[in-house]
Amino acid sequence: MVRTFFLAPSAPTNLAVCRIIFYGGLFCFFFSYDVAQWAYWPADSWTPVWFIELFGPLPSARTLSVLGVVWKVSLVMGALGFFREVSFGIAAVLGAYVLGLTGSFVKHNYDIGLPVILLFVFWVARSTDAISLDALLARRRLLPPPAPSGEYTWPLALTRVLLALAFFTAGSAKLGHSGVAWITTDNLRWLFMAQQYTHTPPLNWAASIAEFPWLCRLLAGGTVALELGYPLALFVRRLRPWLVLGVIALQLGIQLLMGINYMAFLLANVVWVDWAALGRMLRGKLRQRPELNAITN
Amino acid sequence: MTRRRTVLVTATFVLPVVFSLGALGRGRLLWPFAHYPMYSGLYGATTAITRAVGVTGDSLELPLPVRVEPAGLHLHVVIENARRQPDAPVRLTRIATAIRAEYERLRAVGEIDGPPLAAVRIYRDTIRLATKPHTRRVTEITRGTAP
Repeated sequence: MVRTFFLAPSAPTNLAVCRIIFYGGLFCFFFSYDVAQWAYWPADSWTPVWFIELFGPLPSARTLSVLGVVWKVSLVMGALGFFREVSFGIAAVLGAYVLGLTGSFVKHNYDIGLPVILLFVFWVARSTDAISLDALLARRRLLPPPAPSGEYTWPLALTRVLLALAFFTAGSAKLGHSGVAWITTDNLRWLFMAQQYTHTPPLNWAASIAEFPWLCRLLAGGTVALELGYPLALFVRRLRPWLVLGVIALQLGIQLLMGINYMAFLLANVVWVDWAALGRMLRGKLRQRPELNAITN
Repeated sequence: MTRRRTVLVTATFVLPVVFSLGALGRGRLLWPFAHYPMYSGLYGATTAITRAVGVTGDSLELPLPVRVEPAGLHLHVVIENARRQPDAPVRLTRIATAIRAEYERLRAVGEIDGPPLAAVRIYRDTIRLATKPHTRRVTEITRGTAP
């Protein structure tokens, strides 16, 4: 069963589309991230994670700036699928460094862990065998197109497992630290109110929702249920769309109502979509519309 | 798949799962594998925020651009961490001074607009959420001037 889950042969299309969305999404999300800012933080607050410590003291602002630019360029090369062995390696190692910096000044940054891991996964995976510049160059060299393989399944399966573990861990942490009181008390209600001061959420509805304690408890219970139940999406096909969409809605809700951005983490959810089937469905619908065919021809 | 490739792929999908389970089991960060404790504690009817404000030569206070403070919540955590240290007053002053220096640096290169600052003050606001309207108590934590 494990072998089927991780290594059943599949076409390279899904992995390729996920690569494009993941790298493109990271580029857009971190486009305005100024890595050099960390050079100006007080030395007292320097508490590097182990990976950052490997590289010694914090470099100068100029060096950090260059690293940031190189990383962003490598993300573009990742989206285009060019020169995987080198560009993806740069994206992974530099990504671990520049993103690791965000959690190296007293405050941990939990939402960048999964994107860092996935940068390494995509580097190891054969993620540029389709819909990429590498694939185009391979065709020009008259190399045969890639056959379905477990190589295109395991990266997506692994990402789903890591997502399931992350959300299950988050739900367990809530019950582990606070017990059912996380759900049954006014905990979420106070949190909604507090966030209006500590963050700048795009929508100010949380304060209105906080006026209804029963609704806050319902949302709290729903949150924990979704997080703990998320691993079922791995095994139970019928529940999968509800759980995945539920968690996406949860993260978007957190972003809009509480001003906490999990966009980098949210990108990982692209692995749940069967992009190849979606493409076939859309092409089928286009073929059924002769007027569109006339335009495209 | 060659033997070498099999070993590499196996390691790539076993190690992240093992470390993720390790972070879950030990309840601690094994960077980049996390135990995701965000907002897992119980919140009460009081909250606190830390904010830095610029002070002009005429003693006028004005809010600082978001860019000056890399991330607002970072400031809160950094300040609370500094307050717990034996040399807290020194550290806090250094933080405020660094924020002022960053503001002046960004102003000098034209990335932000604003008047020159004589100082930066850091306040801690304690807000009671159970009252209507919410009541706020403001405490000055530290101030920083030009080094």
